[in-house]
Amino acid sequence: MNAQLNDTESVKISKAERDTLLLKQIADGDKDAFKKLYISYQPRLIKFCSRILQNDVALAADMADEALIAVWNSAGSFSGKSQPSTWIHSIARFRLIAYLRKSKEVLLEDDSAALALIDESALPEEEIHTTETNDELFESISKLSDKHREVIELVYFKELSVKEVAKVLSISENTVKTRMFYARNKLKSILSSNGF
Amino acid sequence: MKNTNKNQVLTKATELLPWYAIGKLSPDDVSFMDQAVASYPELKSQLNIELSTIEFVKKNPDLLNATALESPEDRVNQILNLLEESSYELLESKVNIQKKNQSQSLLKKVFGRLFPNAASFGAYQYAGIALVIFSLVVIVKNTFNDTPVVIQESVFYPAAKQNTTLKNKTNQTVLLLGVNGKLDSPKLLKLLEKVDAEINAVPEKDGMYRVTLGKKLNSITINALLDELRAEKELVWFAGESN
Repeated sequence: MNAQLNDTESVKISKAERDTLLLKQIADGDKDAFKKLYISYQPRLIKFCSRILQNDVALAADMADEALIAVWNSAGSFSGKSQPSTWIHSIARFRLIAYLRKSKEVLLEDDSAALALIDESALPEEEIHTTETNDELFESISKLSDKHREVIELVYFKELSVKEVAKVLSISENTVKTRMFYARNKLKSILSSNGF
Repeated sequence: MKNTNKNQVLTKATELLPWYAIGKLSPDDVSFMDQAVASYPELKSQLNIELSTIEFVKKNPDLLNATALESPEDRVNQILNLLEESSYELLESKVNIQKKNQSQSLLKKVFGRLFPNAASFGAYQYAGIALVIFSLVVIVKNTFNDTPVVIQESVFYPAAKQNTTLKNKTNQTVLLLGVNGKLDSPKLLKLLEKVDAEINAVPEKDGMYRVTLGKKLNSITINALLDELRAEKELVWFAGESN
């Protein structure tokens, strides 16, 4: 158990060290370093943002890009006092709050509304400890899951009612509606990014 | 109350929309949807989108296996191209910040040399100092367009609550600062004082500090201030501004 913890710890430390080094290189304008950091963080940032943005993956990807551009612009201000991942995720969080304030027209007096939306989800740092690889994460956020594809096929192609879908999938009618709602949201992102 | 009812209707209607579109709802639900669509025009347009989507997906079933995003590699390359295009603009903005910083430190140096013992001056000498400052302000303001240089005496409240009412005057800039930790170092407070800052709201945790500045600042000056703040604190993130 201890050995396992130590292993996890050492992986974490080496990732932090690697990212700190990448940030230093980015501060010097190293584009390859930025590419490495981007590919390492983008899927996790998209996943974090998309949960807050009601699974609007396309918008979440734009928010993740904005945060990572900010990392490019301010990498020099990272002093190493905290984990690079915490720093990067904080930037994404603040971008998200700023966006929510703008788009939801949250009044200045009511920051708590925007913050509450953020707090409802897992802390972004927790995304780092997910066991999914980046490729798996990217796949899961950018494509329809099997469950979503299945419910869309049953409704759009087979034209089954809520009750019939519930029976076929052995789930409640409410779950059918909710699943279809999220499946349609994901499908919209897919269609819009494919020019529909 | 009306809004709550509207939200409830829209939520239920949005959920039922696909089955309304394919004609697979119970008579009660059809009647509910008919009324909802007639009452809220946004539902009508959502229905049209739903119908087109169904038609499009039926014709292009492969889309169900398509991806919503370009690969990270493609996106990062596009971003780097974008950054390259805007690098000239950024460079120009940095030069302006440096000019502004130089103008302020020059002001301080001149003042320090002219009045090394300013603290011991009598009341009659303040009129002379004010005149010199005013002249310098005019000169610097004419030299560097749109750069505020007058530093007024500041008021600073370190721990107002999150729900403190925001002072929202039209002649002020309001910054929202995300800070990793507390905005509490004496140096930071001094920097904020320089721009007549007043912290109106302090988050419970990892939120933002809302800082009202005593004057309206332009974007170059805001960036210069943030650069100074970032030099003192690991993460100071400018999240927004309002008049």
